[in-house]
Amino acid sequence: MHLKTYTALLLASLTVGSAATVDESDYYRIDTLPTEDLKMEVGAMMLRQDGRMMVGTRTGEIYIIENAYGDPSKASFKLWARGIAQPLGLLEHGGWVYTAQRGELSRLKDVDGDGQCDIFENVCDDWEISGNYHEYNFGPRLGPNGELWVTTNKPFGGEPYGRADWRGWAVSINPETGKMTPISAGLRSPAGVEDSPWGDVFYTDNQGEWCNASKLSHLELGDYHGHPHGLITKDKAGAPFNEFPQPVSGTWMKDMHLQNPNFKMPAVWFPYDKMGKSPSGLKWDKTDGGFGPFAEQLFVADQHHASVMRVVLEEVDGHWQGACIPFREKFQCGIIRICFGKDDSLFIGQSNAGWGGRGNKNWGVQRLHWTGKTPFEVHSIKARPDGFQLTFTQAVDPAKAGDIANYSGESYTYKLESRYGGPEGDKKKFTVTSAQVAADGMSVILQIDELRAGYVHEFKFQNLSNQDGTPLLHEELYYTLVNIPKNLTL
Amino acid sequence: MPKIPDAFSGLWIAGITSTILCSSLLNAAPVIPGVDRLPSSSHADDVLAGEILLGELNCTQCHDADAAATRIWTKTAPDLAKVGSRVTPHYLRKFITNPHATKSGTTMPNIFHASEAGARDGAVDYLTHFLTSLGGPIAPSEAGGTDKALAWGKELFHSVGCVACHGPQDGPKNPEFKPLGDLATKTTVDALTSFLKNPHETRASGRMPSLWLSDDEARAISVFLLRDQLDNPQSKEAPPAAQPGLNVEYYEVAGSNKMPDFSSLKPVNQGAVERISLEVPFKRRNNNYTLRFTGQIRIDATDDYTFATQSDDGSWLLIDDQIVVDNSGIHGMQMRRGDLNLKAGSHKFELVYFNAGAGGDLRVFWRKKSGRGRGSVIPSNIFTRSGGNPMVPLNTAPFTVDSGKARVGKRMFQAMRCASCHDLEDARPLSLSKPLVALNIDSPDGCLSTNIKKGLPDYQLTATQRRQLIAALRNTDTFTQKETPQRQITKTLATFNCYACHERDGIGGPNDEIAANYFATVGDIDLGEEGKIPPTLSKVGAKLKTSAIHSILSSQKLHVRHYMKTRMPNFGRENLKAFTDHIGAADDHSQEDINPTFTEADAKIGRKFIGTTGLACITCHQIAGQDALAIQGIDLATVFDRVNPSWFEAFLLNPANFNRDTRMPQFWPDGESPFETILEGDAKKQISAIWSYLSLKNSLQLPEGITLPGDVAMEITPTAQPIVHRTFMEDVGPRAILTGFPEKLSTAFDANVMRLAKAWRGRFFDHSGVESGRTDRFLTPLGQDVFDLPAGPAFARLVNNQSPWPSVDKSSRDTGGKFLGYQLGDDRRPTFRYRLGNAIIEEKPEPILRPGGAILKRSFGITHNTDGTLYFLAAQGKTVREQGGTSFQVDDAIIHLSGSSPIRPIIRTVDGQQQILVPIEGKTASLTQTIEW
Repeated sequence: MHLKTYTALLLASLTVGSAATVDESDYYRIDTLPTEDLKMEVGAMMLRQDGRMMVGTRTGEIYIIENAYGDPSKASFKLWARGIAQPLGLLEHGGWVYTAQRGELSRLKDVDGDGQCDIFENVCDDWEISGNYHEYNFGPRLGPNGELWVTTNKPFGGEPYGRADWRGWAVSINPETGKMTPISAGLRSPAGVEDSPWGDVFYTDNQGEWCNASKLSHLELGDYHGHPHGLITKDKAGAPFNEFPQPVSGTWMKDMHLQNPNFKMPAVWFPYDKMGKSPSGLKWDKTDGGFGPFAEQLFVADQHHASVMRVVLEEVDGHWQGACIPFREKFQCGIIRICFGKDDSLFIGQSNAGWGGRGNKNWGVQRLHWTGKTPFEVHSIKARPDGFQLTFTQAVDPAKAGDIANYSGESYTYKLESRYGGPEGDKKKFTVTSAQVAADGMSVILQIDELRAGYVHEFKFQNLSNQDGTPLLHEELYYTLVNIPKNLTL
Repeated sequence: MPKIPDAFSGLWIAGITSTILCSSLLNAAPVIPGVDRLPSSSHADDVLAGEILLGELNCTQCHDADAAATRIWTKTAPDLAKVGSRVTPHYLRKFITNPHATKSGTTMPNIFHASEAGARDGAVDYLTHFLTSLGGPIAPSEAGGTDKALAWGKELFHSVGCVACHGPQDGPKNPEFKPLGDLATKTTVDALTSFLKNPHETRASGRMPSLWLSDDEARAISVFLLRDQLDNPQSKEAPPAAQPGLNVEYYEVAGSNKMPDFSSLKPVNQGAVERISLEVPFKRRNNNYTLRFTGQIRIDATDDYTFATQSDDGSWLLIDDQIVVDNSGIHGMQMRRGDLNLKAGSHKFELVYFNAGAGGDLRVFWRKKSGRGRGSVIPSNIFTRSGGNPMVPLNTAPFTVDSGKARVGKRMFQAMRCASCHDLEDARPLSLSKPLVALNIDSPDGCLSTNIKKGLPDYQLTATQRRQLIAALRNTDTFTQKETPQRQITKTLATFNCYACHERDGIGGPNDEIAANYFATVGDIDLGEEGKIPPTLSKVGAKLKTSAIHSILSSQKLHVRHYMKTRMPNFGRENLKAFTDHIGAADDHSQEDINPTFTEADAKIGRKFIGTTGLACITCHQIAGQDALAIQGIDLATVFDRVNPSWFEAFLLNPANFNRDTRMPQFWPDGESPFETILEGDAKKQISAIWSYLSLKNSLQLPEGITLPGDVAMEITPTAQPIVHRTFMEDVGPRAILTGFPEKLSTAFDANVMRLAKAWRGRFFDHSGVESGRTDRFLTPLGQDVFDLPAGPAFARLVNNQSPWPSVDKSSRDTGGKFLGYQLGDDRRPTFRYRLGNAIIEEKPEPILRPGGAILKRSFGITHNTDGTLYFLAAQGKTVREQGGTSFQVDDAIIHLSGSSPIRPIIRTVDGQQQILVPIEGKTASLTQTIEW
C-alpha cells in the first residue's frame, strides 16, 4: 500500500530514455467538498434514484448534497433528517429511505415534499443492544432474496456487555413484514456490506479477536465466519446454526471446516498494514468505464489508511476469491463509505472518530475523479492450476514481463485465534518458474513452484513497464487462494 | 538405538510414558523458568545457562568463587531470622525432611537424601525446634477468608502477573512454571499477606518480586492461595475473624432515586477503610460512581438512635438491611435523618453513596434520639468488617519450642552448612567446602553425580542441568573475563524471568495460552494485543532514557500502561544493577542526550499536531492527566521523561517497525507529511516540534479538542423547532428517543418498553457521548425538574383490575408492545406509535405553557377491539389524593385526565405504592393527561 514515486527510477527506463514519474494523482484526482462548518462524520452514503447524493452522519443527521457535482466549492449540505442513532447505511427501496440505526432498521419518508423527512418507521428491531459503543449496525443492502440485509457488530469488552442476542450476525429482513431471518453468524466488526452486480452480498470485517486479518467475505445462508460471539444466539437462530461448535483458538482457518462444515473462508484477506488496517465501505464499479479501466471491479475503503483499495474476484470451485491491489491513498481522513455519483466520480465519506488514522482532518467528503489517463496497472488476476494469469491495463514490455526475475512472492495464511489480530502464519517464499507473455502483451501467464490452497499469495513485481517504459503504478498484489482451480477455464 | 521387536514396542512406549508422568508429577528438579526460555543448542548456550545455575542454586555459597569471577552471580537463600513467625512447625519438618516432595521445583537441596530415617527424623526435629524458635511459633491469622476475597484473589493472581511465573492455578499444574508448594500447610493469611506485600524483606534476591499490591489485594491473593484452609476442619472450630474498619465496594454506576441492586452488579474495585469517607484505597473516577460501605456497627447501649447522612449526591444508610436514612436523588449537599431503636450488640451496617456529577461530598452523623442537633460523626472504632471465615493451616498441632532442642538444632544448622546459604547473624557456617575452581566435577559421588554421597546436598538436578553446570565449571578460567553487555542482559532476563512477560530479540514473552487467557486490559477496552501484553524489550536501551529505566525498575511513577492488568513488578533496584548498567550499551543509547532545540514556536506547532485539528493523537492518548477522547492510551505528557528523542522520531516515522500489530497509525507514510505547509512539510521537523511540545510535560497547554470533566461538549438545543433524537439514556435504556421542545420542556420515550419515561425542564441534553467517538455512555438530562414516569409499559392488558402491572426486564422487551415509529407533524412535534396485541396506540407529548414553567400534556389515540382488558397506567406514587373530578395529587405532582368517553380511574395499592389505572373503553378512544410538577 505504499505509494511509490519513481524518480530517475529503473535502469531499464533509463535505457529507453524516459525517466518516468508515476503518481496515483496523475490518474485519479481528489476534490474536496466544503464541510468545515458541519460535523460531517460520514457513516452512510447513497446515490438516490433522482441523482441526488444523500449522506448520513455518525452524529445522526441525514443530508442531501446540493450541487454535488462539478465545482466542489459550490457543494452544500441540506438537512433532510436528524436524530438517527448512528445511521451506517442508506438504501432507497419502494419509495422509502431505509437505514440501519442502533436500535432498529428504519424507513424514512418525506411525505409532504418539503425537503424534510416526516415519517420514521420501525421495520425491525429484533436484535438486542446492551448499550456498548461497538454495537453498530450496517446496511441495509438488497439481498438475492429480495429482502434487506443488515450486518451487526458484536459488543466490545466484558460485562455488563456481551450477552446481547443477534450481535455479530448478518440478517435478512422482509421490508413489508419486518420479519428477520438469520443469514450468517460469526461476524466481528462488519463495517461494510454491499450487493454485487450478480446479486450476492459481500461484507468487510475488521481485524481483532478471532479475526487475525481483515477480510472480505461472501454472505450466504447458513455460513459461519469465525467469531464465536454470535453463537450465544445460535439456539434462537435454529438450524444449521444450533449445530455450530465453539471454535478452538489456534486452529488454522483453512482447517476450520473440520470443526464446522459451514465455516466460510474469506474471499480476500487484507494483510495487516500492507493493505490497510480497517476496511470499511465497498462499492462495485458500475460506471462502465466512466471511472477508468476497472469496470465491474470492486473498490474497498480503509478507515485507518485513508485509502481505497481495488479488489478483483473470481469464482473457483464455488468459492468467490481474488486479490486486493493498492489503488489510491492520501485522502484527508479515514474513510467509512464510498459511493459512485451520477457523474461516475467516487464520493468518499470520512470520519476518524474513535480511532486514529491517517490524514489531516477528522471528517469530510471528497470525490475521486478519473483524469481520463489510463494508469499502467495489473488489471486483473486469475488463478490457474499451476500459477496465475495477470492481465494489464496496457500492453507490457514483453522482455520485462517475460523475465521471471521480475517476480517474487511469498504465501502465508491465518489462524482463528482469540488474540487480537495475528501474524501471517506458515510463511514460505514461492518462485515464478516461467512467465509467458501473450502475443498482444496484455497478459502474462505465471507458473509458480508451489501453490498453497488456503493461503494468501503475495506478489512483488519489479521492473515491469508498459511499452512506453512507464512502470507499474502499484507493484504489489495479494491473492487469497482458497481453492486452486483444477482445470483451466477460459 | 537398537531395533525393538514390534511386540515390545507398546510396552516400551508405555514405560516411557509412565516415567514422564512420574517425573512431571513429582517434578523434583529445581525449576528456574527463565533459564528454560533460553536457547540450548550449543555448548556456549550450556555455559551461559550453567553460569546462571551456579548462582541460582547457591553453589557459590559453599564453594567460594573468586572475587573477580564477575560472571557468577549469587542469589541468596531466604532470610530465616524470623522464619518461625511465618512458617508452621509442621511444614518446616516436612520440608527439611524432603524438600522436593514437599515443594516440587524448589532450589533447596535435600540434605538427608542418604541418611537413615531415624537419624534424619531426629536431626529434623532439632532443626524444626531451632527454626521455630526464630520468632515462632506462628500466630493464628487475624484475617480470614470470604467468598469475595477468594474470588478477587483468584482474579488478581491470574491477572496482575503472578500467573506469568507460577502458572495458572485453576487447571492442571504445568511443570514449566515455578510451583508454589503446599502453602496451605505452610503459613497463614496474615503471614503470606505481609510476604506478598514485601517479599524482599525475607527474600532479598528479588527473584520473587513485589507486584505493588495493596494490603487488601495481598490479603485476597493470600486467601486464594491458602483456600484449602477454608475447608480445614480445624478452621470450623476457630473463633471468627474480624478486623476494624469497613469494607468498601466501588461501582461505576450512578444511582438516582432507587438504590442500585447490588446483587446484579460487579464492583469495579473493592477494599477496606477505617472510616466512612470518599477517600478510598483505589483509583476512582469523580463522577457517575457509587460507593458501598459494609460491615458491623457495635452498639454499647440499647436506645433509640438518630442517624443522618449529608451528601452530594444521594446516599442511603441501612442497619440490619432496613433503610434508616433515605437521602436519595441527585442533589447538592443535603441532610436527611432517620430513627430506630437498636439493641446493644453488633448490627449489620451499610452505607451507599453515589455521585452523578459535579462536586461530591459525604458525611454521616448519629446521636441518641433524645439528643439535639445533627449529632456527631460515628466513631470509627465501633465499626468492624468481617474478616471472613477463619483460616487455619492444615494439620495444625500445638507446638512448644523446646529450648534445649533448639540449641542443638542451631549447632546442626551451622554444622550441616544450612548456614552457608541461609545467613543468620549468630549462626555462621562452621566450615566451607572447596572453592569453585578446585572442584572435581567428575567425582563419582559429588553434587553433580547421580550417586551423591551422604552429607552433600542433593538438588535432584536434571541431566540437562548437570550438563549445563559441568559446561560452566569446565570454563572456570572465563569466570573472571569481561562479558558483553548483551550477554549480561540475557542472563539477567533469564535469572529474573523477565521472559515470562517480555520478549527480547526473539526470546521470551508469554506463551500463547497464557497470553490469551491471563493477560488482559482493564475493562477489556479496545486496545488490541498491545493493551494486554507487556512491551518488547528489544532495543529497550535505545528507547528508554537511562533515568526512566532506573525509575521503572524501582517505582511506579513511569508505569504508564494503566490499562494493562499485568503490573511491572519491583525486583529490587539493587538486584537489577547488571541490567541498568548494561542495557544502554547493549542497545546503543549513544543518541540519548541529543535533544532537539526547544523553541516556543515549535511547541506551539507541536500542540496543533497533537490536537483534533492536527493528527488527533488525543483520540487514543491521555495527556497531562486528561482523558483521551476515545481509547485511554499512554499519557503523552510522560513521553519526555520516558523515551529518547531519537527513538521517538523513528517510532513516529513507522510504528510498525517496532510492533507489527500496533494500532498507532503511521502518520507520515513513506516520510510524507499530511500537513505539507507546516515546517515545509518536513516530517522530522514536525516530529521535533511535537517533541518540543511534549517536553513541557504537565505544564503543557492542553491541545485543541480535549474535553474536560464537566464540559458540555455537544449540547443540543432546540430553538425554532422541536428536535427528536435517539440515543442511550440512564433509566430509559438504549432505545431512548428524546424530544426537546423550544418551550424548554423535554421528554424521553423508551422504545424498548413503550412508555414515556422522563420529562424535564430547561436544557435538553449533551450528546458528547457520541462526540467522544465511543458511545457507550448512558446520558442524563442536562436540565432540571426531572419527572420520572412509572416503570413498565404505559399500557397493558390485565385479566382484571387487580392483576399486577407487568414488570419489564431485558428478556421481556415486547411486554409493552411493538414500536412502530413516529411521525412529525406540521409543527415538527412527534407522535409515537406502537402496537400492543390488536391495539394501536399513539402518544403525542407536548408542552403547555404555564406561569412557573411548561407542563406536560400527553395525548393518546387508541384503536382496538374493545374487550375490557386494556389499561393505561396514569400515575404511580407513594400517595394519591383525589382532587375532584379526574384530577389527582400524586406525591408532588398534579395529574389531570380527560377523554373522549368518560374516564373511570381506579386507584389501587401495590407493594406500598399507589397506582392510578384507567380502563380503555370503546373501539377508538382518545385520552389526554396533563402532568404538572
